[in-house]
Formats: sequence, structure tokens, C-alpha cells
Amino acid sequence: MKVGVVSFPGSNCDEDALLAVVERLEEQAVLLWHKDHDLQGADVVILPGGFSYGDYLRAGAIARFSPIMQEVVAHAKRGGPVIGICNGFQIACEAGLLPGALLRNASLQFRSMPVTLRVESTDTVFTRAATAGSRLTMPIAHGDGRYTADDATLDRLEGEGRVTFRYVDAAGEPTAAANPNGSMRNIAGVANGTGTVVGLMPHPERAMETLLGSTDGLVLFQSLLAGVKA
Amino acid sequence: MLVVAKKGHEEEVRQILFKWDLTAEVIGEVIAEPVYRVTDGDHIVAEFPGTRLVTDCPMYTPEAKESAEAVARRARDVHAIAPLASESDPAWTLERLLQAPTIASKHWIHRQYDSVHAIAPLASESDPAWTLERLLQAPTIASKHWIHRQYDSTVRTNTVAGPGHADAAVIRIRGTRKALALKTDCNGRYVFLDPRIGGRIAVAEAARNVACTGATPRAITNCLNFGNPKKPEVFFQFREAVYGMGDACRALETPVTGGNVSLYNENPQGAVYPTPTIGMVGVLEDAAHATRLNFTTPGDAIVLLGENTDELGGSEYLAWVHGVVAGAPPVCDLAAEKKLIDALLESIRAGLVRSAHDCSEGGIAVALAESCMADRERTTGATIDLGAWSALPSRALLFGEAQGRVVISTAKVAEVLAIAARHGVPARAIGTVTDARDGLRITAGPMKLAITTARMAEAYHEALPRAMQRAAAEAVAHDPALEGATA
Repeated sequence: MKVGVVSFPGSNCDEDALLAVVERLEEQAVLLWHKDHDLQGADVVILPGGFSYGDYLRAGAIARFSPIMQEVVAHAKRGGPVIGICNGFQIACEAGLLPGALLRNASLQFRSMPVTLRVESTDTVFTRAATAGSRLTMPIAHGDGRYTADDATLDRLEGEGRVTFRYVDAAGEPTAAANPNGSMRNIAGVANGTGTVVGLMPHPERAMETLLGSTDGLVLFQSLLAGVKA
Repeated sequence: MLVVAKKGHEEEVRQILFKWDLTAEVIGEVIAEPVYRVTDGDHIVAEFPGTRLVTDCPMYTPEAKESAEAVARRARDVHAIAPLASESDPAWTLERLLQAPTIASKHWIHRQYDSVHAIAPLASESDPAWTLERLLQAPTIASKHWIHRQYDSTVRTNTVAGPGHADAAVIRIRGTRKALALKTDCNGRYVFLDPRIGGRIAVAEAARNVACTGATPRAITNCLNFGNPKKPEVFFQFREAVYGMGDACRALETPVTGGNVSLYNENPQGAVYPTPTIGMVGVLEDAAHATRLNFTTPGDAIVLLGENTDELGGSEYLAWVHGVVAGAPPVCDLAAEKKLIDALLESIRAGLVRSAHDCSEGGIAVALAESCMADRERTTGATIDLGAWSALPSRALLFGEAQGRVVISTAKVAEVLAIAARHGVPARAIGTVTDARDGLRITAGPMKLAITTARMAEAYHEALPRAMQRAAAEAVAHDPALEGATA
């Protein structure tokens, strides 16, 4: 498997995602330059975290016009796996790969802390190795993570099992206190209709080693591997 | 940004910058002649010897004079400051200290500084006086400017111990077994009361913090913040603090790699506290040795490395509980600090230490309390007997800030005591880690302190959020448009 990680100007998690794939998954990964039109044969695309274009206008709003995004969207339309992490989730929403939008955190403050997620759906290529209802701990680091959509969209996402992750407390309940950004229905991540595109605000690539506090992010990458090889 | 590129590679540098939508121009060259020359076409605009900036700098020696206020305050008999009625229960005093902004958990601050991009100005900040007022209402934040330079504490996936987890941050070096420990520190009150001692302590405490994580202190940088050096009292502070730092750096073998100096920090009321902030870096040969400050395992022995002595001067206890800045700052025995660090590091590397936390603001009582509940997800209790020091005034014993002390927890108490003895470091088992339900219990002869872990945790973790909520409520009262921006 070959993973392409897009570098936008202002991305700061591109190398982390690359190293997660190369060092932890021991698969191939390449950085894809935002000005290029070449996915370099990547089977999977990661839209990484950071502050693409300095978050000017709106987080992800400019990055979605980068030349490489035309190829990423075409790849997604062909059924190719794409995961958007943090700023990558924002870019995926701006690009129309996923429904909804990420608004300013309800607190109006940046949040850098570990959160607990509940796996809501294992019907995506990024969660198929996970157990439904299991809980994962990984860091968040964002100022614009409040997932928002109209009620009809939210109902449709729930109905189609496309809410992938929810913020929950230690008891596994999606309480307001467990929600770091005020997202609707405690949503932390969603999928497209085919489960091939997933976006989430938390950082699985930062939860790959015991030394750094958590290995709960591994399952997303392991799922990906199983998904591509299947 | 200025780049000195290898001759002949200018075009490659230009291409790299072009990739990132940046431009580059060659504006000069390094020449053999020892001269710095700026030209506009054929016209020489400026020209002087480069040595004047490096080895042959102009020097001047302003008058230095210690401020009479600092002399008077240091001389004051702090034991004559009568305890408050409430202090008959030392638990009251401990609880009060835990709420001091200097001591209380800074989680409220840490969690928001992943990136400066994310810090949007509030509407009210268009009036900088509002911002200044706001900053002045939170002196701990204002004096910890370094936090504003913090970015995401987990980005680049190297963070072994982030803000508040250990006495210093620990960052692993990818591709090696090593890690770096980093700490910035300075107690401006000590430096004000005695700049030479304060300068020594700033370095010694930063080194102790780094060592508590398992790292060998290696070098310092610094940010020397002082008032107007043309005032003799300020230049005295500056000169003496730098001498004090030099004393400590030589004793602890931590060279100064660089730093910066910020002078003329004054307002109409006078100069800022002299604040030679130290940034200490240490090296862990094995990141797996990284040691945190919280007790982990009920039943572990708690060992004090170092000696409790009567040091109430300049303490947070006096400043926060009594509103008094007085007394001589604690003695700083640099040879003892070095031995302490060596003994601590040997113990950690031998795998004997489960937690390590130095005693600083608030003294041993605060250090023990923090080890019980600084990690709110994994709290413990502790039962402590300080009877060996019951001759000390109890508040000096509990809250005094004697230097050169570290509280560790261990399952191998005999081994730790043997290492300490070999290094000539006083060490004593002072108690046991208990379940969180048992709270913190400290006795010293007739003196007894008992407080629940929950009460300590509440005070420590909620003080700043509550202070911030109060400030936010005031902001909303001032500008109703801010309603909702108060979480």
C-alpha cells in the first residue's frame, strides 16, 4: 500500500502522518505537493492537520482550491480512500467530500488536550478493524472543530451510520462536558456514503506509540491497511 | 529572514523559496576584510569594523546600588508576622496556598495555546487598556509570557511529557533513544529580595526540575527582564543576578548558550521585579526514564532528598496569604544542589523512582499535595511524618521554600537511601503513598494536617478557571457583546 500525504502551505502534521505510516505501519508513504496534479500512485490520501493558508478566510477554504485537490476529489469519486484529520477534515468539508462544516469552538478558545472517542461505525475503510462502541483516546488541537450541519443532514448521517466517532466521557456517554468544541450531537468524525472518505478532528497519527501516551490511533491505520488489501 | 548560502548555491536557495511562494535576493557577501560595509551603488552608506559588534564592544559601567526597600524587606523578621486565626488548622493554610495562581494548576492556560493563529482578539481588545487591565488581573499569566509562545504541545509527535505532567517538558529525539527535558523558571520575588541569591536559585531550580524528569542538566538560555539599568538600584539587581546565575552555571556545569536581555521594563510605579528567566535544557539518555511528578502506586514509600530547614523568607505563603514580600530568600547551596541532582539521576536511571517533584513555591506541603493530585485522572493520598523536623516552626516546615529538596516515590526505599548516602545527600523516608480516599495527612510532632485529596484537587485545578470566569463575567458586564465567550 502507498499513502500520499498532502502538504499545503501551513500544514504542520504532514510529516507526523507520513511517519505514522512509515514507522508504525511500515508501509510506503510520500508527501504530495499542493501545487502538483500527481498523486504519485497513492492508494490512500491523507489530508493532514495544520493551518493551511494560515486559516485565512475560513479553515480549509483556500486549500480546497489547491491543484492537488482536483486529483484528491477524483480519487475519492473513484472510491479511493481519503482521510481528513483536523485541518484535513475542514478541507474535506470545504471540498464537498463530506457534508457539514467545522465552526469556531463553542468556547471561542483553542483546545489542546486528550479526548475520548466512541467508535460509532465500523462500516468505513478507516474503522473496519475497530470494535463498534469501543473507546479511543487521542489528542485534539484545534480552534475550529464544532461540527455543524442542518437537522436533515444530521438525521441522514445518523440513519445511514455515517457518524463515525463521537466525543464521550469516561463512562462512554456523549455528554456536553465530554464535548471539547460544542459539535452537534457530539460528533467528532463523519464518513461519506460509501465509507471511503472519513474526516475527524482528533489526531490518530499522534496516538501511535505508548511512549507518547496512547496507541489508540493505530486502529484507523490498521483498518486502512485491511481496507486496501481486501 | 537572512540566509548565508554557500557561494555558487544561490540559485538552489532561490528555487526552494520559490516553491514556497517566497522571493529571494542576494544582498551581499562575506568578505575577508574585517569590515561591515553597506553600499548604495558605488556610494558607501555605512562602514565600521565588525569586531565592534563582537569582541571589541563599547562597554560602560553604570552605578549599582541595592534598593533600600529590598534591604529593609529582607531584614524584616518574618517570624514576627503573626499567623492568621484560620491558620490554627494548617489544612486551611495549605488549601489557601494551593489556590495561589503561582501554584494552582495551569491547565486552563495550557489547553488553549496550541497556536497563535487560534487566538482571535476579543472585541474589547481594540482598546488596549482593557487588555492591559485584563492582564493585570491575572498576574500569573502576565508574568508567564513564555506561555504565549507555546504552540500545540503534541504536534510533531515527540512529546513524552507535556505541560504540567512533570517538573519539565520531555521531548524525545526521533531516531534515537534520547530525549530532551526543557524548563523555564524564575522567582522574581527572590531576585528582588536578594539578586545574587535569586539568580543562583533561578538556575538551580531549573536544573532540579530538569533532573526530576531524569535528565542531566546540560545548558541554559535566558531572558533577563529588568528595569532601567541607568538607575543604580536596577543595575545592582542586574549585575548581582548575572553573577548569581554565573555562580550556579559554573557549579552545575551548565554553560550559557545564549539568551536575550530586556531592559527598561518599567511603568510609572517603577520597575518590574528583576526576572532573569532561565531556560534549562537537559538530556535523557533513554526516553523510557522520563519521570513524572505524580504519585502512582499506593504503598510506595515517599522519600525526601534534601533537608527541611527554616526558610520562610520570600515565600509564596507570605506573599499570597499575608500579602507580604519580606525576608531573605532561601539559602542556595550549589554544591548540595549538584549532589542532589547526581543522586536523583542515579536513582532514576536505576529504575528506582516512580515519581519525582521538587519543593518550590509553597514548600513541601504543596509539593506533596501536587504529587497526590496534579494528575486529576490518577489521584492518590499520602501519609507523611515530618517528626524529624518538628523543632522547626510548623509553617516554615510545611510552607517554607528551603532549596535543594525533591520528593520522590519509590518501591525500593533502601536502594534509594543507599544511593543518596553515597552522594552525601540527606535522605529520609517520610511516608507512604495511599489511596486517594485517605487524603493527605502530615504530622510533625503535635502538628497535624489532614485534607481530602478531592478538596486539594478542587482548589488546585479550579482556582484559575474560576479566576478566569470571574474576569469573563466582568468583561461581559463591560461589553454585553462578549456573552457566550466565557467558557
